[in-house]
Amino acid sequence: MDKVWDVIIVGAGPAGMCTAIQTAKHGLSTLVVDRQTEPGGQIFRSAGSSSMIGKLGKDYAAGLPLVKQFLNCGAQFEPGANVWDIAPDRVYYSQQGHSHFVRARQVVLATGAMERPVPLPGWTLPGVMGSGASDVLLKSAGLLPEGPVVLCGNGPLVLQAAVHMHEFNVPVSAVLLTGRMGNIMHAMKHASGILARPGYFLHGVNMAAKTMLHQKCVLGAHDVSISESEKGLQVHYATRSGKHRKLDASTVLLHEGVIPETRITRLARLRHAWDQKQRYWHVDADKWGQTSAPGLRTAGDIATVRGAAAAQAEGSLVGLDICRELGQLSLADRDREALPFLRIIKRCQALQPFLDEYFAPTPAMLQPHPDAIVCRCEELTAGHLGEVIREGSYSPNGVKAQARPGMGTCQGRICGQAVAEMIADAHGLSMENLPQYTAQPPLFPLRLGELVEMPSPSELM
Amino acid sequence: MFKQVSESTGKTVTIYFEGKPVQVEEGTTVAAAVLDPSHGWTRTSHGGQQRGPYCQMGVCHECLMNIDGVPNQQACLTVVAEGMQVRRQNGVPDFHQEDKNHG
Repeated sequence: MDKVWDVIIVGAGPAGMCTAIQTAKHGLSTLVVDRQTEPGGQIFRSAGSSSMIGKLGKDYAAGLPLVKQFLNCGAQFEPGANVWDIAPDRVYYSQQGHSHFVRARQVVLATGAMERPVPLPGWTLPGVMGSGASDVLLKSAGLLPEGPVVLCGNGPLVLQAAVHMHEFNVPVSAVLLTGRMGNIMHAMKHASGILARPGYFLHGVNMAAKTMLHQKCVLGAHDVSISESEKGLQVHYATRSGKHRKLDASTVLLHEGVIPETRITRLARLRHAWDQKQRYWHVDADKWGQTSAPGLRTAGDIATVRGAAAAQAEGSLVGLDICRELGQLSLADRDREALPFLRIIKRCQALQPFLDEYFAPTPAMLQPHPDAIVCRCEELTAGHLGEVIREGSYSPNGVKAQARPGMGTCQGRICGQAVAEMIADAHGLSMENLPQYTAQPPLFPLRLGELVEMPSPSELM
Repeated sequence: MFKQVSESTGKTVTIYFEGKPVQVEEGTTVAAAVLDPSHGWTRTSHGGQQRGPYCQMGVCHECLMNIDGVPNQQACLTVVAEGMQVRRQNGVPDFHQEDKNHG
């Protein structure tokens, strides 16, 4: 019979690496697959090999020892392995143009988060990309835009990008901050949480101060759109007092926070929950990562977006509980080993309400301008989709059947939530009650030949 | 346009973008390698719009390119290799071409 792994972990970011470190340490055969060619995920992207490792602050530098520990922990790592189907005891992935089928007693999905796609007119133009995409280029290839850059959005990653641009002498035309000014009032109700992570909080304040000091910041920018110009790109926006302004740029970086990438967990038909503050769907899992499907767990940002420190602790807890379930640890030993990780999570949880309120997405940003292309693959504008919705489409799958958003190569990863937000707004529905696009295998375009060539389970016996 | 802020490792490979040689650092993804030579656009949508990589992490599928004769490859998940032939993917993917390549 073919090998049955004790644990297969999908995703070698902070959470997945820490799960593997625990399960391998306690003697469980562990396979880790990741579609990137190196472990690290996005936050520690290329940390094991990047020449930028000492130049982007201590948060990123912390990735290097973790990646080293992971690569030496005894788990088998399969890089460049893109998972296209999943069940509680099995994983299908494509690697170098060939598909493989692997089985396990426990499967952990640690696939992380993505930048929230917020459609606006002109965001499909070359030269416009996610701020996180620029961060990936910086970490993995040492590349930064030549500028001038316009940074636009809301969230700690906007501030981080603004600081990096300053440190590496990239001209920035302006930083358009789209968060609501009133958010601070709501956030202050949770100010006591700051005491749980003072160092982390001060790091954030420091980034904000540097951004304000070194960059031209526009607070409360709205009605943002991008057009082509002779010089490259032109960004149009309205100020808080309603004045319309223009900026030249060669690169525009957009960022409206981070949301779990739930396509793989919806494919597995896991139970999800809606986060009303940060407005995203996430997997409903307990602190040991147990989801609604026995044998299938989640770890890290896929369950709740709390960043790298929490993801590492969560990943470790998931690993420890798998060791208990598979008989490698007694309940008492699991609890004893879990203590330091539970403390970290408690501290992260204490500060999270403050961060979630302060960086809450701006409702107006989530209702795209009629000219904005919502479904990039099928080139469908918000104006067109809005008509379809108002004519009587009440669910994302309904709009999909009617007008094809989500039918292209990205399979709704980019437009899914934007379409749902439009439906909720048009018909006065709550997002919580809107079923998301149904996810089907394969999770990404796959050559039919690959399926034909793949050894079937019976041949593997 | 992008600039290199890291020191070169000295290890480079040559790939071909639309037939023209491009020297890039080993270990770079195709999407990063062709940022400048492609002027930011690496495919056209089926309606003919110029598009380029948006997410750089395998989600948006805007970076689909033809790599070594195989269409629909995610350039941001593909690492450069010596002599690699990279082409823009224009409009609707040509599935007949794919059949020929893998016939």
